[in-house]
Amino acid sequence: MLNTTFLGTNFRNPLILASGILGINAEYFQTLETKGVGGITTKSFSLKERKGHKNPVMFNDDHGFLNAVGLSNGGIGEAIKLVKDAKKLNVPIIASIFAGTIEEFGEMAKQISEAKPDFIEANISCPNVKEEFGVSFSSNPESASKVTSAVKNNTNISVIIKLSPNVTDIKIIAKAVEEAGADAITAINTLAGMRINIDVKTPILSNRFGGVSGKGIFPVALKNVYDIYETVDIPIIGTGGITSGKDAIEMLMAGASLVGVGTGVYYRGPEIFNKIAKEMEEWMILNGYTNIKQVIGAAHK
Amino acid sequence: MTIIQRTDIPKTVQIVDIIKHNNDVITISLGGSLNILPGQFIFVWLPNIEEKPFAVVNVEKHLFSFTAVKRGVFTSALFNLKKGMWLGYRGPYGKGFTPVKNKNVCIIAGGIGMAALCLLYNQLIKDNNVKLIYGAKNKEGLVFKQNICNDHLCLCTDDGSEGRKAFTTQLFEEILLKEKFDFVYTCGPEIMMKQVADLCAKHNIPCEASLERMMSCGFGVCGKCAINNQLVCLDGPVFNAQQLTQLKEFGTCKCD
Repeated sequence: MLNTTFLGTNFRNPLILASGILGINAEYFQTLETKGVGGITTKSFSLKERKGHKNPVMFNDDHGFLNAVGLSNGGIGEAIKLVKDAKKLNVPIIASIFAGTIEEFGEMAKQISEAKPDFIEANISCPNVKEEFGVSFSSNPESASKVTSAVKNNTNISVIIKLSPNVTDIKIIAKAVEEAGADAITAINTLAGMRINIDVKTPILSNRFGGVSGKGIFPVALKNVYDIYETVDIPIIGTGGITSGKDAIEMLMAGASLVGVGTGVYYRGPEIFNKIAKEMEEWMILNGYTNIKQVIGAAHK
Repeated sequence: MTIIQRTDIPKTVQIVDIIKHNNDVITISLGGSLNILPGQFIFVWLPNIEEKPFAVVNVEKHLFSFTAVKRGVFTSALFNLKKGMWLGYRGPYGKGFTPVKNKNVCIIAGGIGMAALCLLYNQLIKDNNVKLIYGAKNKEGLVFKQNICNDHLCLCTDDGSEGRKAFTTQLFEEILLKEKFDFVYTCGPEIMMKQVADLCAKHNIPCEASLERMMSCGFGVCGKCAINNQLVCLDGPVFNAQQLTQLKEFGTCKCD
């Protein structure tokens, strides 16, 4: 009932582990596989190893979940090993990559392709490394388009571009990456945010600013996905604040073909994938749906 | 469908007491009440510096304490703190020990690993026969010695400056020749815990060990503390003998 295809690849369910959550250890991916995950996105990797920011790098407040991990990763060598190990699983693997320059994005795409991930997701929208990289590539259509071309020109693997909601009009960016050859879009990355501890008058994240995720951003993610669906013909992975089966159905109705679950793992543990899948099936049976594809884009009249 | 409403944001409290055990070891007490089980841990946030996980060594009605060894920037900065200053904490996190009742139990502590066993010890002595094998590099490392009843204690040091000149595992092996235990708890260098677990397996004694890994979130999201297919923060830090045999990495980490 929940099995689906995305760019020609089969998924047992549309529930994808979003990038940056638990995505560093192939052995732990096995645990997630037993807990019902439909596909796995690795954490974002760069050519060179990065230490990332100091703790605190994530916490949850009454309003949402904040993180500024700073794209810590072991570099391309570790990325290739992780993807190769992860390929032994029975769920599709999306390799998430990022870089500081357009050329480097191309180089990353070329090198990660060696490991043969099922998809490459180009993270052009991390809000937590601005001081290092300046404005993110996803903030204007020209740079978004250039990165997409660079990645596409260096691989035969399907390319997904992950977009930021921290823009004036995400539709323009979505159109630009589609025209540049993107095979799909992931939306949304986190929203820029911060918290200050008033006793010590200090921002809590060591990076001061971070990305907001979690339940609070679900309406924002939904609107962005809805808008993108109206604008482009390529499929969308809808991500942002999904914690229940009904959330996932709603995201599919807005136009997502797959659904990313990230911070949901915080609220409901790694079992969240089985839980959401069960809740989706129950809802579909109750409402007379037999195939998940009947739900995708259903809210667009 | 239930989704538990959670918050995990550092809560700031004031320092109510500081004990410098020696040049390298410090215990800081924070004002506030904490509901924690033996073996669980908290994160301590030093504003503008960093945030790190710690065992809680003492809990009273309106204060709780953690002990740190000077190692890097964070732990060095702890030595500059004064009473009344603010520190943040969040937690408790993780799965703790399983305290037994009316049994003969043995606790094996290596160095600062004793910090993770203090609350357990205090609970176990209420209704068990407790033996505590406590070892360190030298006598300065035995910082919790005065909190433990001498009748329970077997001390050892690597250099012989206090107690027997031996490793905890050697003492444990000797004691096993004349005493029987129903349960063993351990925390210390991983190589020591691995030997303890192996000895327990050989003598068919259930055991639990508290593991340590680099950690960022403490609540099962960042994935940094993964050991094989388990997360130390969520599935641990305390693992039982059966779980330990599944963890191929156990005994190979030198992070402590």
